[in-house]
Amino acid sequence: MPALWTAISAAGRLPLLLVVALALASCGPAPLVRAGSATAVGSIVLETPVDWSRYGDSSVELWTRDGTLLNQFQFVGAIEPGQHVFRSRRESRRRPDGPYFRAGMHGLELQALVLDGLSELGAVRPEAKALRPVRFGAGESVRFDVDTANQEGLVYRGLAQASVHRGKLYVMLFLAPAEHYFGRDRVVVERMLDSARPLD
Amino acid sequence: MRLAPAAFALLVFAACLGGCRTAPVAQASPAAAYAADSDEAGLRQAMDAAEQRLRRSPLLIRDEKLQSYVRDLTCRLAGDFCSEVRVYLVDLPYANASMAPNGVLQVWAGLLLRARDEAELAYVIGHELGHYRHRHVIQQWRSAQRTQALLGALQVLTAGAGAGMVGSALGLGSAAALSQFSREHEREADRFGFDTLAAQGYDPAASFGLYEQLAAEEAALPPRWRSIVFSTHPPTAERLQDMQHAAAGSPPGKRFAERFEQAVAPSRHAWLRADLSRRQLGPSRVLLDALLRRAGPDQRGELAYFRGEVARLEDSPQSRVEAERWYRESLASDHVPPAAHRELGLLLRAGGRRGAAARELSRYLDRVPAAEDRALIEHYLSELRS
Repeated sequence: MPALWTAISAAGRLPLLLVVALALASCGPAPLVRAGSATAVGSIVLETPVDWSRYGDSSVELWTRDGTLLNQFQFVGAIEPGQHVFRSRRESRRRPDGPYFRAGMHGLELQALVLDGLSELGAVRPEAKALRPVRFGAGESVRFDVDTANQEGLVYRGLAQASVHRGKLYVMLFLAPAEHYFGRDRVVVERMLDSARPLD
Repeated sequence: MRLAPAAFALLVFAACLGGCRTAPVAQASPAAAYAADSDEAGLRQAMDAAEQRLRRSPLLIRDEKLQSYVRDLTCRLAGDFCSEVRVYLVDLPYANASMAPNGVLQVWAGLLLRARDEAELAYVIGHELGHYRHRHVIQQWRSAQRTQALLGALQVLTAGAGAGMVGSALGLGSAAALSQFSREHEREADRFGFDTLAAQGYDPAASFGLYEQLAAEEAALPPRWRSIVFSTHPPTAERLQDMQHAAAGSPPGKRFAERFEQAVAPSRHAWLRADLSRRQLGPSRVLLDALLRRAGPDQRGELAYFRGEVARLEDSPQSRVEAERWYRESLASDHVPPAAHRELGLLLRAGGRRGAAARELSRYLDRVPAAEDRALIEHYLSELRS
């Protein structure tokens, strides 16, 4: 996770999103997502009532309004069974353990997958609240609130949605400092998540 | 003790230095002053800066009773050095303890979870105090100065060693890691820990219990992920045998299992949950089997629930049967975590046993009416009843 969490994951690799953000940060202004438009993010489409800057590719995108320290909305799409929840690696005989998506996971398991992925990246004691079912595609789909902190002690809040469609997992995760930024954008993000639908 | 993977780069660096000859260094004396321009003073200053960050870290365990228990134990073991040692309990699920040259002792939650009793914890703290008393870090530091890598090492030591889950707490842990590469130093710390244990009347056999536990957990990892440190340094078979031999020739002593249990019991559920969140299922299974073997009736329900959680995460037809058996064992105990009802209910739901699933999920909601997952469980219940 760029900027929010310490740069190097427990396995000693740079998280994919960090690589993306760092690479793109030096490439001039990020493309804008304009308010009011229906926007495709990989194989998801959603509507936004505010402008965002976007980074990433079709499988992992990061949107921010004020910079990644202050808010980041991540979209990790089409995660296949056996893939890491943030697509950073794939399950193998050498790496059998990790937060890997599996077919048939129920809502609590999807929630734990996201939280354990965050822990692995250095989030401090991520906790979920208000787990609820939501409609997305044809499969299991849940949304929940997230409370956590970075390792310097800055408290973050978030909204996460983990949805299965046609056997693949789609994770949408918004995180922002609890002070001011999360509260400012919460309703906006809820509306965006409500509007999200699979493209196929 | 085992170090987290992010310290490997530093460890490899330090291992390279292990072959350097080290100038003799006198043992530390209580409240010793060091010349302001000395290398030792500089190292301590760097560690002091890291300590300031550690003090503000959200990873610190704030349980005052537990803090004071470990602090008092450390003070008794440290004797004249008590006033120099500052104890920090770190909420990370790895079996780790370390001591920095400025007197900062870190004990991580994973170690407290695994220690059987006070005697085992006392040995680990005694071992770390041995590194401090013998000033092993400064010896390694002086070896480092012989290379041109000093600056790089200092940066690693003081930068918080950005390391994902293990993060900034390693800033000081890595410093202690510098001392872990000399077999001679480890033996010296072993002896110090052993003598401290004996002097305080603890059971000398407590000196190797944790090492055996960690070795069993390591063996449950895929070969690539068995710790480089663990396999080549602290508990070599030779050192383990030495400790076992020394213990065999000593009279038995005290263990203080009860007061240790009182200190750690309130945190155990959260620590087990954090251990599971690592998703290293082999080691977690070995750990829980060990905890279950020695559990009293009060602990069995909770441990059986977590053993079921490991089996559920292992996600095979056989492990699902195993998970159901563990959840049922948990539910048959005196102290049942409410989540055991939920997990059994979800397992039954997945197996198509709708009526039994609905009963367990309802029991869960009866026990935790304000559950954070209530909306989802009610959704499942309405599906099951339709």
